[in-house]
Parts: sequence; structure tokens; C-alpha cells
Amino acid sequence: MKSYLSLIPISAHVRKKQGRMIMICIVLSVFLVTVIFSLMDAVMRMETQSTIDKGGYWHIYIKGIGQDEAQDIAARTDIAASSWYDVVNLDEHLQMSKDYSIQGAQTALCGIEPPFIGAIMHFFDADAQVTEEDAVILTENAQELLGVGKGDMITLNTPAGDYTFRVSGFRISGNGKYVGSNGGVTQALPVKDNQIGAFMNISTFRRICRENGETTEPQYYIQFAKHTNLRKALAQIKEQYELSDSDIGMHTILMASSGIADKDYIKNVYPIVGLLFLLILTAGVLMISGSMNSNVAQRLRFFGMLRCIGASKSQIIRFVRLEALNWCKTAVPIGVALGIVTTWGVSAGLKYLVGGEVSDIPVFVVSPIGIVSGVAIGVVTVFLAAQSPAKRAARVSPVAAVSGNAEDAKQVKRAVNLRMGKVEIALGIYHAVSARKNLLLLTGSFAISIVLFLCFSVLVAFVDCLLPQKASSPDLDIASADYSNTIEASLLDEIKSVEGVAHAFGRRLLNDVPAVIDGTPQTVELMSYDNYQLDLLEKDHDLRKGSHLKKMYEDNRNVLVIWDRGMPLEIGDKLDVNGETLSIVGMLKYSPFSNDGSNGGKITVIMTEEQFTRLTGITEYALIDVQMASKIISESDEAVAQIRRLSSQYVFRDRRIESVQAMYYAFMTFVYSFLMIIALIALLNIMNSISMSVSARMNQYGAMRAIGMSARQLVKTVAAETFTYAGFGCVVGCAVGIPLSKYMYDFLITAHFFYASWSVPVGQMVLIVLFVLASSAAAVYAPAKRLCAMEITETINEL
Amino acid sequence: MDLLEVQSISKTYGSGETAVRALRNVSFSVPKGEFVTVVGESGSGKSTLLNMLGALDTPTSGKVLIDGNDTFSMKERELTIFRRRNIGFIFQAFNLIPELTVEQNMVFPLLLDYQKPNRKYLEELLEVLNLKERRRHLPNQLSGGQQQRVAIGRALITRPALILADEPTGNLDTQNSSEVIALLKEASRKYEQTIIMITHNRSIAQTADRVLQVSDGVLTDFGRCRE
Repeated sequence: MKSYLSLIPISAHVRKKQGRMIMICIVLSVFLVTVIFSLMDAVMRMETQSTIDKGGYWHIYIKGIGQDEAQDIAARTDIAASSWYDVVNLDEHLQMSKDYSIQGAQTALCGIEPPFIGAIMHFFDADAQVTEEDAVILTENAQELLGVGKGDMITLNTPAGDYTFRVSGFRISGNGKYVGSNGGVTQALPVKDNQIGAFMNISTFRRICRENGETTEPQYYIQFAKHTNLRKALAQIKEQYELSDSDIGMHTILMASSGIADKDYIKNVYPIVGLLFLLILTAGVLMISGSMNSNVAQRLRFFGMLRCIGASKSQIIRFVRLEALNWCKTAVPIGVALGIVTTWGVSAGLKYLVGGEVSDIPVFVVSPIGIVSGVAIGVVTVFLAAQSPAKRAARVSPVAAVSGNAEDAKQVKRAVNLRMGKVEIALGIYHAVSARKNLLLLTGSFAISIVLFLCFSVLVAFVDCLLPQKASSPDLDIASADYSNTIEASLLDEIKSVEGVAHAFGRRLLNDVPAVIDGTPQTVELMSYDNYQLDLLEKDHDLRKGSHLKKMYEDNRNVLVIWDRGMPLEIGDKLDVNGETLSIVGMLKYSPFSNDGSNGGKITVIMTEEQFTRLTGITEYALIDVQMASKIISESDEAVAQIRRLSSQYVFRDRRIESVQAMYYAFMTFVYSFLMIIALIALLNIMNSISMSVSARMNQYGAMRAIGMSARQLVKTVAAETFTYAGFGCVVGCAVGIPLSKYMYDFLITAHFFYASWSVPVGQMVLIVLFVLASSAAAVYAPAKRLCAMEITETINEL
Repeated sequence: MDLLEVQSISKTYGSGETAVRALRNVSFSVPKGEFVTVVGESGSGKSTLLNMLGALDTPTSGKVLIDGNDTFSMKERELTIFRRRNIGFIFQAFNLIPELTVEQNMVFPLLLDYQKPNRKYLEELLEVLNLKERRRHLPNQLSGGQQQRVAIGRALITRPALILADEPTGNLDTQNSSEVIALLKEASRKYEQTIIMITHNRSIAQTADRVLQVSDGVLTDFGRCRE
């Protein structure tokens, strides 16, 4: 032994069993944090990669700068690539209103610089280039539509004259409409099937625009170099060129990883993640501190002896702290290893079982962030948790230790109140409330679990709003160009008969229909729903309280309306349309046709198809939604191609890729696994504490048994103690958790989805109470078994 | 009539070469109201014998009859209730419940039986034990002698037929020891209770009605002192 601290591993070896619970607690904390951060890292990497794949590798684009400023920016050392991007003849609805064409096909023109190809966007084939003034890259559909190939010459007809180009290559992917943070189509010229997109050198583009008298709004795309401090670089550029927020567009996900994002909800997620991290840290500290306190309490005589033979108080404190850190030596690597392996398992599960948009998640990822966070939480929690037990150990009086009274050092100050009921119950409650620190730790442990549960429930609701899982979500939609009722009803029947289509339903729309509401003339929007869509409203819980969907089928003068802020109508109200009085029998909670659920102040009246046709005489549709039988994209490709052909004269949108189902389930799996682990920690903590409490009172319980207490009564005492902790935990947890849940709900959800309002989470609270009862029962089980099997003589002979 | 009848009890711990025979074929009987002391060296088997009499431990062979009831033929639950109602225990280390007051500690066995204490009897016991002034005190506010008096009160509260005391004076000074013994003897006489007490103190042992000695698990009856 080189120093008194060498006693630590020896003592740990001898007291292996007693240290096991502390080890488990540390392993769990480290494991939890490693998994969370590793998974976050993996998801972030996947998101980043998928964002780059879908939207290109750029961080920001700038509007309203000139050529000199652009050159200036390009010369910065923190810029990896930059390029002009300018478009003419393509609006944000993919409409081409100008007379630019190649072989009669409407053509959108796009001016770019060489770095745009490859470095910023990689949707182009290997030969595609715009270095030469007459080089043009066409969208892939040009090969079929125009019958052109690489090296062919094409002529672009414009009002100012014709221009000849040589086709250098094609844009082979990336036709998705990618919407940037401040709206609008931002990148690789998404065009409809019968339109062409032509990429050319920016100087050629500018010449054509000049000669045609076009005014455009060029954007300068920037890709920062790796390891650039994005926040700082962005601030510098903004300041230097006096740019406002509206001049800058961001690639949200890429910027979000640096904590810079335009989207409010992404900004809001950071403090919430921080809060949850703090809660986990607190849970870890409470749990480990509880175990260590019990561990120290059992060895008060040992610490007293150390004090007797000359150890100072600070040496005892150092001893206990280092002893705790000694556990980290084994527990932290185990926690990290378990965390990494679990992350691999979860990632593999997400990749191969869930699939969809999470199928790109890397499986065997070793995340430095995950490992560092795991190690940090292990060491920090243990260090913080060791403070109080260390001080307690240092406070042990040497005299008390050698005289054998160390364990009794805590003097009872108040007697049990036996008026509370049966003596065994009263004693149990007293045991719980008299040990203040223990009460605080266990109440805290339960309360933290409850608070975390309530907070996570809000996150679940948030994700429900962000990634709504609606039975009515279509895989494809086919719309008339201006949402006019011009789609023949026969198309719907044709689509329905395509193999692989599960459901197809149409909607008819009529805007600005005169109506009389409460004697006041107004205009309303009429919309038709077929029976399938009406049924889905109930299935998706989209109807407000008091709605009677069944009445829609009973009388064809009954209608639904969409609720909105300031909407003058209520369920039961009537309105007159085209001389017919309609009764409102239900209300949608929000508009399913807008991102934030708002109906933009319009009054939308939803009616059955028959009713719509009777009132308006219209039998055609404005929109057809299609749901495919298989959610696996590749399996439905053939059917989709067939539908696409059938609906070639309409605006066709393949929304399968937008499906967020996999991400939704991945998130839910993550949240619920996390909650389960938190619950497991609370359970282990209470089990450990009750077990320790029973061990400490074993002699007392033995004497009680000797003087006539039955084993059943003893179990009741222990149960009363446990349920007292649980009761306090429930009360404190709900008292803190419910306001916090409301705050988080308002902050995260109501602020962005105005139709969503917080209500007391009764269901969750019932679940909490059930969990608390079950974990308390589990905590009582093992000590109860021990008490029933206790040899009275063994305990009283030790007295 | 004999209150306690011990029939050939033996107790062996372990087996084979490591077997320890703590009690060897012990038989004796004690009539109602008799005050018996048990003496013997440390490890001689006194406490084992007392545990058998109190049905806290089971013998390897033999029977113990208390008031005609074979304690070892009873089921656990039945035995607990029997012990609660018929046997009072007094320990060397007092074993009071630190969270209960003097009065609460004394009535504790009755509370376990969900019975209301007889106030008159309680007052009488507090008076006899000289604990009236201390009735609301917690054990840690009492001296050793006072704590042992509370333990005696707890043993007497159910008016058990048999009181088993394992060195009740072991932790007390001479004066307190004398007081405790006097109290036990008075209880034995006043309430007609049979008391079996282990002691190391020869002079205390000799104040009993009868002295038993245990040596290497074998019991020797020294007979009745006052006969």
C-alpha cells in the first residue's frame, strides 16, 4: 500500500455486493446518455447526408449582392465553394409564363457557375459542364421529350432571338421541389414532365436576359469550408455587406447542426434538449447519491475507525469521492460499451426494420460526441453525487464509532403518531418521513421520472403535430393547374382500377360562393368529401368535440366547417347557400390543407359529393388523392408510373417521399425506450433504497417479530414506507411536471400550431400512478420475501 | 399445574464433522408463577434454550408445551399470535422501538393485536415501573435502567403467562439491576406469571425460586432455592 487511498480498491473488492447497485446506477446513466447522444449524432449525420443528397451541399444563399461582392465573398478563406444561381421563366408553382422554348417545349433557364455542378449540387452526370459559353445542361426528360443526346446542338427560342447551344450533359436527379427556409424553389430547377430546364453559364444567361429585357433575382450560393464557425462567418458576412435576414436563405438542417436555424421550432428544440439533459443529470445524481448514502451509512463505524486512527475529515471526504470515482473506472467503460452496442442495434433496427427515410442511418457508428457525453455524465454525476455522502462520512465522530453507537448517531426527535391508523402502517410512514434526506432523494427520484414522462409526452405531441400520421395522407396527388374543377370524374375511376392503388378520392372546390350567415352576406368556400374521406376524419381525430359525423350521412343539408381563429360559426349554426339552408353538424379542428392548420380567415364548408353537385351542378374534381397499397416506394413504382401517364395533363405530385411515417416511428421508439430506461432507473432506485432501509432495520424488525409482530405486519410496514415515498413523488412530480408540461406545450406546440391547446394530461397521470404503484410493489417484493424468511434468532442474537 | 413443559429437546447446528450440539435432550417443567433463572458459561446453550422456549427457533427434536399447547406444531401465523398473546420477551439490549414513546412502546404488542390497551392496567404498570413522568419520552431520552423498565412493561402489557428474559441486567449497573429483578419478582407474584431469566450473575440467580444450569447443552436442575 502506497497511500491510504490504496485501501479503496481493496475495500471495493471486499464490498463488491454493496457496490453493485452503485455500479448499476452509473452504468445506466452513462449508457443512457451515450445512447441518446450517439443516436442523435447518427440521426444528425443521416439528416445532413440526406439533406445534401436532396437539396445539395450549400449552407446559405444571398440575394441582393453584386458581382464585386460575390467575388469578394468567394475569396474568403472559409468558403469552400460558391456559385451564382439565377432563374428565368419558372415561378414557385412551377409555372412557365414566358415564351422561352426548345423545339416547342417550354423551357426554364438557369444561370450557374462551374462550382454549382458537383461541389454544390451533384445531380448532374459526369460530363455536364457550363464552363464553355455555349454549353447547356438539360433536365433528364429532354432526352425523351426532345430526343437529344450529349454533344447535340439545340436552339433556344426566345422573344429576342434564337441561341444555339451544345448539350454537355444532363441533370439526372434532384427534380424534387426543395423549399428553402424562406420559401420558394431554391435549387436544381424542378420542372414538370412536359417542361425543360436548361442550365447554362451565368454570363450567357445574363446576356440572354439582357437581350430579352428580363429582370431577375439572382442568388449567390455558398458552401462554407469544414470546421468553419458558421455562426461567426454568417454574422461577418451580414455585417460586412449590410444584409438583412430576408436577404439570406439557409439550408436549415445543415445550419441547425451549428445551432443556427431560421425555423422557430428547431430553435426551440435546443433549450428543451438542454432541459431534458439537466433532468437526466439530476436523476442520475439523485439515484447515485441515494445508493452511496446507503452505502456510507452502512459503514459509519468503518469511517469512525479511520478517524480514530488519524484520518482527517478532508481525507475521509477524499476517500469517499475517490471511492466513487473508482466505481467509474469499471462502470463508465461498461456503460459506454453498452451504449455503443445498443446504438448499433437501434440504428440497425431503424435501418432494416423501420426503413423509409431512416434507411440511410449509419449502423456501426462510433460517435465521439456520444462517448464524451457518456463519460462526462458518468464522472460528473458521480462526483456531484459523492458530495453529500462524503461529508456525511467525514462527520462521523470517532468516539461514536468505537463505542458502537455510530449507527444510532441519528437521534429520533419526534414520536410516531399512532392515531394515523394501524401501528405497522404508522411506523412505515414514520420511517419514510423521518429520514428527510432519504425522503428527499426518493421523492426526487420519483418526481424526476414523472416530470420527464410528462415532458416527453409533450415532445410526443409536438412530433404528432410536426409529422402528423394521418390515415388520410395521400401518396400521390393530381390537381388541376389552378385548382379548378376540371378533372373528369372518369379519371378517378380509372385510377381506382389501377393495380396497387388502395384508395383514391377526389375533392371538388368552389371559392367565393355567396352565402348568408346570421343574416349577413358573406362568401364561403365549398368543398366536397366522399364517404371514405368523411370516415377518415373520425379515424384521424380531426373533428372538434360536439361534432356528429353520422348526421352527415342522414340528411344532405348537413355540413362540416373548418375551425379557425375568429370563425363566426359554431356547431348547430345554419347558413344559406344558393337558397338552401345548411346546418353545421361538425367542425374540423384545423385546416388539413395548410402547414400550420390555419384556414387563412376563409370559411370552408365541407359537404358530401351529392350535396356539392346538387348545389353547384359540378361533377368534375379539382383534386384527386391516391393512397397506394404498398408503402414501399419501389413496390408501387409501376402503378405510380401508370397513374402518372393517366394524369399527364394535370399537375402530378408524388408525395411518397414526403412520408414521415418511418421517422415518426423511429422517434416514438426512441422516446419510449428512453422513458422506459428512466422508469427503470426510478424503479432500481426505489428497490435499492427500500432494500437498504430494511437491511438497516433488520435487527429492529427481528425484535418486533420476537415480541409478536407477524411477518405480514412487517411487510405492511415496509410497504407503507415505500408507498409514502411513492405518494410524495407523485404529488411533487405532478405539481412540477404539469405546469412544466403546460409551459412546454405552449412554447413548442401552441405557439406554432394555434389549433392545439394544452389540457391536463389525465391519461398520462393515470399511467404514472399505475407505474408508481407497480414499481412500489416491485420494490417491496424482495425485502418482503427476505423479511418473511428472516430467522428471528439470528437478528436478536446480534443485539 | 405446569405452565411450561419441555420434553427432550435437542438442537444441533450443522452436520457431519462440523455439527455443533447446542442442546442435548433437555427436559424440565415449570409451574405457573415460578421465577426461574438459567445460568451457564457463554456458548453453553442458554440463549438457544430460551429461543426454543419462546418458539423463536425450532429444535432438532423434542417438544415444548406452553399451557398445554405444543408450540412447534403450530403454523407460523398461529404461532406469531400465540407468542404475541402468551409470551413476553425482555432482551439485554432493551430493543425498544426508537420512534415510539415510553407508553407507545409498552402498548406496542397490544397494537399489533389490534386491541385497545386497558388504561387502568397501563396506568398501574407505569406506576409500578416508576415511568409515569416519562410516559411521553422517547427511548433515547431515558437511562439504561429506565429503558429496561419500559421493556418489562412491554412484556407485561399483554399479561402473558410466560416471560422470557435474556440477561435483562446485562447492560445495567448494580442499583438498576436490583430494581429490575425486584420488579420482575413482583410481577411474577402479583400477576402470577412464570418468568425464566438467563443471567451470568450468580447472586441474582440465587434470588430466583429455582435455578437451572446449562453446560455444553446439558441442563442441570439445581432445584428450588427456597424449598
